[in-house]
Amino acid sequence: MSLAALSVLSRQGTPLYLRDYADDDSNLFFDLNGQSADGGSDLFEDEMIPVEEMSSKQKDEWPCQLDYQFVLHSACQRLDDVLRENKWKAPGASGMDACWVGFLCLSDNLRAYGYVTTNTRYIALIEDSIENIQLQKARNSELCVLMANAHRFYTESLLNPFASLHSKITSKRFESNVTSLVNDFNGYGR
Amino acid sequence: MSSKSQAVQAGQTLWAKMPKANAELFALTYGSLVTELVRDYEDPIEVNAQLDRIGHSIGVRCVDEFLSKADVAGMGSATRCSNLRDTAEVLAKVGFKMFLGTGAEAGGFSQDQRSFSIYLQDNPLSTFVELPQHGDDHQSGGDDLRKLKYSNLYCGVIRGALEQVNLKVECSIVRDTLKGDEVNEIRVELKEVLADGAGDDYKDE
Repeated sequence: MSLAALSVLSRQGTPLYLRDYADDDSNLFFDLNGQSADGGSDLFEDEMIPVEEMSSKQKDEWPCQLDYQFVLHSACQRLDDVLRENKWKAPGASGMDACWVGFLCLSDNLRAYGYVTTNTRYIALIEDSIENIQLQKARNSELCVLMANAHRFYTESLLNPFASLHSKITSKRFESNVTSLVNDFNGYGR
Repeated sequence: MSSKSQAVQAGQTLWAKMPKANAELFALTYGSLVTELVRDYEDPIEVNAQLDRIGHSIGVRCVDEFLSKADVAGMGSATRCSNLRDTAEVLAKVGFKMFLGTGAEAGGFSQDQRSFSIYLQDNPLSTFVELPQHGDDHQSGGDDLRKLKYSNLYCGVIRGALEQVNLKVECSIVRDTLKGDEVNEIRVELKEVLADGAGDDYKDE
């Protein structure tokens, strides 16, 4: 199991931070024959149309592969629906458990999880195939802790007098802290 | 040097007696002051000068408080500073400790004993601060905030305080943790020792 991508969105859903953490040789999009999706052929011997590669300028602005961005979009939609229903909160929960929304949607083998706070929403994409309920529960609580820490780093980045609110997160400190959080999280899975 | 340990002791005693403020509130207030100045003046050099002026008026008032409280801590007139070295030690160990709570080191004394450096390990004014990267087009006028000396207030405070005790100095920040250095360094140079006097207007004919 590993965290493939993390996104921070504002209350209105505008993106503040998008980042993917997968290795380049991720086996995410292999088709049935075990060949890579780019340029290979699928079961019906048709040429697969690869997903458009991002230009490097796009990559600089939002360092997250388009594939993950698509899944994040659908997860964001689902999160909106869940929040509108307003029945996701576990009764009697407090602190970070009160912010935890949980499983949002599934796409390929990416599972999306949400976490909301008063001013931001966090969506994480986990790439795994754990079926065991116990392990899932443990992994979910670890993820909740990770998101709570990421929120703490975000709040600290807001305390920078040169940062502007509601705009893209550009703090290097936030970036390096969140990356080390994700590395720790991924380290447990191996 | 016994005077150094005396100074350290005095600094800690004085810090314990001073009323305290919330460190985050302090840092945020200073941060908003600096960003407001940047918005008003736009030129980082001008902002540095303004911070120096503000620091100067703070220093002029701080030194009176320092001297009045120094007796309590055993740093009274008996332990007067005889040379610039003593002044530097007192400034770093007692002055900075008393008002900011952080210890500072005095060092880097020049050959002619007319300049020294104050080293600050952690700067309470710049907690949570990150200078925006250069080349950021959203900045007004594209001004280069690398030239901004965020902690220039300290230079003004030192200048103002020492002026009241007849030492005319020039201070500048030479190393800044916000720019990537490991320690904050303020260079203080003695320009002249002023003579006590009532000024030209009051001189006898």
